Amino acid sequence: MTYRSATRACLLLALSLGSYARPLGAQRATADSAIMELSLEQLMGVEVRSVSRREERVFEAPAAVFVLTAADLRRTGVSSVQEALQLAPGIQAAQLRSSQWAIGSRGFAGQYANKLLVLIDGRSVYSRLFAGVIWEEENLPISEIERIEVIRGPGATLWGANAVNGVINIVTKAASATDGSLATARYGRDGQAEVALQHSGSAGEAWSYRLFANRKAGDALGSLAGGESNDDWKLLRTGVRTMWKRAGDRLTVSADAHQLKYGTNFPQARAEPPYLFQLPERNDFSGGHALARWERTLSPGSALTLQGYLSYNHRNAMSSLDEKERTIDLEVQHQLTIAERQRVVWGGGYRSVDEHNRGILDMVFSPVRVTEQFFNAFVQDEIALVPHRAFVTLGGKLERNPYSGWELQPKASLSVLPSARQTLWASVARAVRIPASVDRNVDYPQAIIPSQVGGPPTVVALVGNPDLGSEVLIASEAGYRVRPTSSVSIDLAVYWNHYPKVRIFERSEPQYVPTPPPGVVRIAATAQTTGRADISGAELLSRWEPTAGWVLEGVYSYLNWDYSRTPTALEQGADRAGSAPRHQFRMRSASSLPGNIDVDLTYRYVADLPSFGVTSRHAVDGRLAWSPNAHIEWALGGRNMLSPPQAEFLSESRTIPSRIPWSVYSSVTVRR
Amino acid sequence: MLPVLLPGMIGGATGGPQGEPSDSQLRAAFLFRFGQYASWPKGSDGASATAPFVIGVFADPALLKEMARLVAGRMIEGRTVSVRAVDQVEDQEGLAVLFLGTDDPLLIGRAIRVARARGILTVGYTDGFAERGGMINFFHEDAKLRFEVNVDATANAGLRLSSQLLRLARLVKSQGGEP
Repeated sequence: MTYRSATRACLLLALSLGSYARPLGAQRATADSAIMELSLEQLMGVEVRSVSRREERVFEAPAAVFVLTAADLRRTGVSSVQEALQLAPGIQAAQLRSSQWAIGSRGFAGQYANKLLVLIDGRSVYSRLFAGVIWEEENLPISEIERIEVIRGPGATLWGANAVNGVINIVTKAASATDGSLATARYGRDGQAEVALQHSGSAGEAWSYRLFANRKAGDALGSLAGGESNDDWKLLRTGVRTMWKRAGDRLTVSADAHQLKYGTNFPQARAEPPYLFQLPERNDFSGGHALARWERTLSPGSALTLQGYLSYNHRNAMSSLDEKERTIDLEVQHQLTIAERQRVVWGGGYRSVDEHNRGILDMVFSPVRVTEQFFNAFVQDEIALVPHRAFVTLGGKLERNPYSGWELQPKASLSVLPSARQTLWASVARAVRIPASVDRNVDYPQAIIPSQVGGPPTVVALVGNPDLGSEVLIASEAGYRVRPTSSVSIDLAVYWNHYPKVRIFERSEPQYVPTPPPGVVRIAATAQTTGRADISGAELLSRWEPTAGWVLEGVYSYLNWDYSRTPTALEQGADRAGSAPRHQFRMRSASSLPGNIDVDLTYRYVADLPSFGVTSRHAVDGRLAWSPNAHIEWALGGRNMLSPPQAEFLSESRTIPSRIPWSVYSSVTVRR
Repeated sequence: MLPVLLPGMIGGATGGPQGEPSDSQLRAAFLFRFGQYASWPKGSDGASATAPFVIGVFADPALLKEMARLVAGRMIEGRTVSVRAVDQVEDQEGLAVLFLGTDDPLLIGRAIRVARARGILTVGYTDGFAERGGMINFFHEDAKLRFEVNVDATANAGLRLSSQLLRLARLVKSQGGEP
């Protein structure tokens, strides 16, 4: 479907919805002006057609939470969630290629960071094949996003396995929260271009809907090795969200579909120079999801949520693999307040994932087809020891997966609020990362070493282990937040992540395999959980508002990594110390001037990555925006200014990274 | 996928009972009542005896629509209520009440500063609005709309809220004095 026809389809859809809406509008109840006759007290008793989420105030949360609001996203001028994550404390977000990123929380970053869970509106976008997030595919339009919640540390008690060292919750705007139409166009020097369209409306009293269409594209950036990087990309996404509300009930239905076409280089081991050949290939990924969520208020202080979604992805990489993935997920959650002293959340869920992975050239998957089922039950109880002053939260999730069976992931935390301006918190938790297809079923030659003496060549292959167990984390965290005055806030978090089990690839003894002649000497590097790691660190976030309309924000993240693996383990890119920067620092200044002019400047520093030979980098991002009225906004911005084009990270897939350039862009947004 | 989904859902819409007010309608009604339960400092536009009673809405088109439909033309203290869109936060000419539908702390900070000097009642709808020196802030509790009041902020601007209103509000303090 071309971009133009997709847009037309969206508009047609909007028109057809509009025609449905008219008869409803005609029967609009005269009752709604009756609300004006109610006294203040009576208004307090009126139920809105929305069930509130339990809004945890970040300031009091017993966890390391950082929230990027829609205002932050707009002001900083980030074009994607990936770029936005460069602003979060404790998060490492490095661009690999034009559309590919390596993102991790508190270490273990990688193109497929397998210990970081990412959810969009409660829907997991963590791949069961790669064990990680395919960021190039989850590149949502910024105008759809309400906020991005970044939780460093384990979130397994609520979100389950793979939420080991962090959870990123991307929350899109509710259908009832947007109004009218919006169009954005953006073009940058690095060839990144975007058009985003959004149309919202309501049909009758109870219904609201939003349609969106988004096209993003980027040019090839140029390879670090010189020459073609073959990383140009085109992404088309279109979707719909509707919400139906009535007394105490809220039904959300959303669906979207996307198509991504992009180039990559598939690293192929060969017996002659270059021993690692970068085979250019074109990828064609498409997929979509449909989600329904029903929220019901049973009584004051008690709410039930039911959610189900279906997602389907077909990822075809010309020379490496053809993957079809279907996920069905059902969840139920009940929140209740008991005697003003306890807040309980409990529930359960079921997920089934059906995968069909066909390796093409050198990659072999066996079995080709995998069906996995997961069951879970969880409970979390927040108990007020002293009302408004001290809370203890106890919780755990019991999850059954087809590999390691039942896994218990408990967490205990304590928060103390000596005054309204201070919070002290501490927590301890256990979380696991369960094996994925890439750990269990793959066979993929990493290197072919020609023999010096005329014998058969040696092949080193990564081999999955069907008996692989889970990776385990025991996390201890503590934090302190203080607001000494209305214009200053400080948020400090310290952590010690102890990983008694980390996946590594153990090399076997060489074995001669006679077929096909002349045969090869094969060294299998098999996945095992015999690695150990200890990562400790601290994150400091401080905000200061010198005057109204001007905010200065500083973020400093420190990380120290001790890693031990057996001498026979294969060197695996991102799973080791030296793949995460010891220091990260960022300063941001955001000001809004009279005349609706926004000026934003961010300075970022990332220390070097010794295990990759990646040097430290300084970058400046800036944006100047002017909005003459509520309907239009012009912006001019720059990214990665003052830094020479360089590699930011090396992928564990061994694809040669691109040189990430500086860029200037211009954008215009029109609202009606 | 989409065409399959939509018609079925639209069908469901016609069957649903009506009559629950939307969030915007409820806030419109609250804003009207706030106007009745507050008194403005001498010389401010809120205290004028003759000019219309103007409620300004910044960055919330849905609320603006409901305000125009439900509130505009009603009377407060013998004055006709009128509603107008505010495009720039400093543009507070003639206002008695200013509703800020933004979550941008910088815009909120600027709006609050100007409003305090002019004696205008500021109402918001975002976490921390009242702690920053906003006067009244809406928040959700279960499925109901609640509001919190920063009494110091109202007093510093010379406004007084009646005890009937304060009785129903959650009271908050500015975090460490006024911005």
